[in-house]
Amino acid sequence: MFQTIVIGTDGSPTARLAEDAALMLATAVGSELLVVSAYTGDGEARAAAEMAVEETRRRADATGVYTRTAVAEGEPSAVLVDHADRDDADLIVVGDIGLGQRKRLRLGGIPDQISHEAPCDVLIVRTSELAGGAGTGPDYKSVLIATDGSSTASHAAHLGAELANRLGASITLAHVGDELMGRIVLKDTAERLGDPGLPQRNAKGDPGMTIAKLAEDEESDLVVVGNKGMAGARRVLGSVPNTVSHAARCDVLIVHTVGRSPRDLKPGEGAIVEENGRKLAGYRDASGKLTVLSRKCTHLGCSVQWNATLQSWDCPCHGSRFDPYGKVVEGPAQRDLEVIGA
Amino acid sequence: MYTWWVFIHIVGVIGFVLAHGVSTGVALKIRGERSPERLRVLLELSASTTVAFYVATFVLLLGGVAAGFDGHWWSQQAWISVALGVFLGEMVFMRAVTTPYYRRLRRVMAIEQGGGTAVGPAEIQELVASNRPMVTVWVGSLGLLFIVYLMIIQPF
Repeated sequence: MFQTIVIGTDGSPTARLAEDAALMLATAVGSELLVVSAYTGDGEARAAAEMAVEETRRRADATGVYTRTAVAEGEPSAVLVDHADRDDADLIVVGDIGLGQRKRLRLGGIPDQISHEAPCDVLIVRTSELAGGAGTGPDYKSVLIATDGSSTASHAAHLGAELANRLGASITLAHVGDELMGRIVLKDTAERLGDPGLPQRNAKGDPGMTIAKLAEDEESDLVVVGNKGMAGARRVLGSVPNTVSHAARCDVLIVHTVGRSPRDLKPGEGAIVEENGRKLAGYRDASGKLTVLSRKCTHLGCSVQWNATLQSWDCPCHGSRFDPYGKVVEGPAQRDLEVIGA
Repeated sequence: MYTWWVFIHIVGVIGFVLAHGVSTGVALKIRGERSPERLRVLLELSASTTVAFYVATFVLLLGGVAAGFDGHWWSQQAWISVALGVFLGEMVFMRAVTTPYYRRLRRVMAIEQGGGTAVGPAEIQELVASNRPMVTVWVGSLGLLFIVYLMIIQPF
């Protein structure tokens, strides 16, 4: 699931705690680790950065995790995001030091910037609360997966469940909002995850704050949310994952469900992807062949969404449905989705 | 030219009533429906008139606003402004009330179609029992009657 995990380090005790989380995950899922340290200034700063990554490499070698290192000049968040992008990483692990208060237009500290700009999943580790403590690293026994039933949330739920299963952690599903929809979405998600008996919590209130509160009530060690609203115009209005990342007292995994690139798609998966700044509907079939379509419904131009259950592109406005290759399955749309590339 | 603008306006009104009549009928029918297959058909029927509805709305607004200018009503009589305000207000209200209702219904129908046991008769009954469709039918009908009253009586 996570083939490459990027971890940033400056050699500080709190950075070590984030490293512990990255090492634990890399060991559990068989990932390689890319240890990155950023510096600004003279040769002394570069030497310190090199020392930091070498120390982490030694620690990783002791656990048997394959590790690469990189040192680069620049702002830490930009360097980490850049390396994650270039190395096609699946996850960035970052401590929460400097996360600060929730902000909208203005960027906060390093973890805040990374969580908004990362091209992959981001794990925010609560190092600030552990700093000065035993520092034995996270031990995820209980995972809270938040979902609103959307296709993007469904992707996050599947990844969260797979991670929990690999770690041997228990899963609780959470939904915030309408009681009836919550009941349906939670039951359906549990069935799709293959365990209808999964504990389910439905609550009302501000979604982000309520998810954080549910995680506290459930004594969860990790909250899993999708990244919807972390970038683009929605960022100005605030978003659920942003609120959760600031308000939750446990670690938060923000799954990159929105703004994925076509190369991120796995066989049998469809999703809204981005290419050259353009949002498109991408589908990779079982043989690995990629089909990229316009996401505009040919009925009235609404954006279609991937329906993982029915393996179709569904228009939320008026119910038109298209097969994974864009052919009309159900009206009112009469024309197929425009094929951009195949 | 004024007569032609009124003609265009009336053509738009006819199209609007025809297209919206389908949605109104669906809104009334949905409340008593329990079969997922029939609900899906009703939702598709309602959606199939959307383009006609928006085209008709544009035509009726174009004809009405232009006729208002040609007849010098905008500067001399208030009823036309009130009628336009009521019409636009109703559109905003309808969209705010019906869009979440139908979006939720479509989403649940998609979940139901995907198999699983999350959506059963009890959930469907609870979903369609909402009084939102009736509220929109009443508000829409009363608003339309009020606009017709304004156009015919021209009270102010």
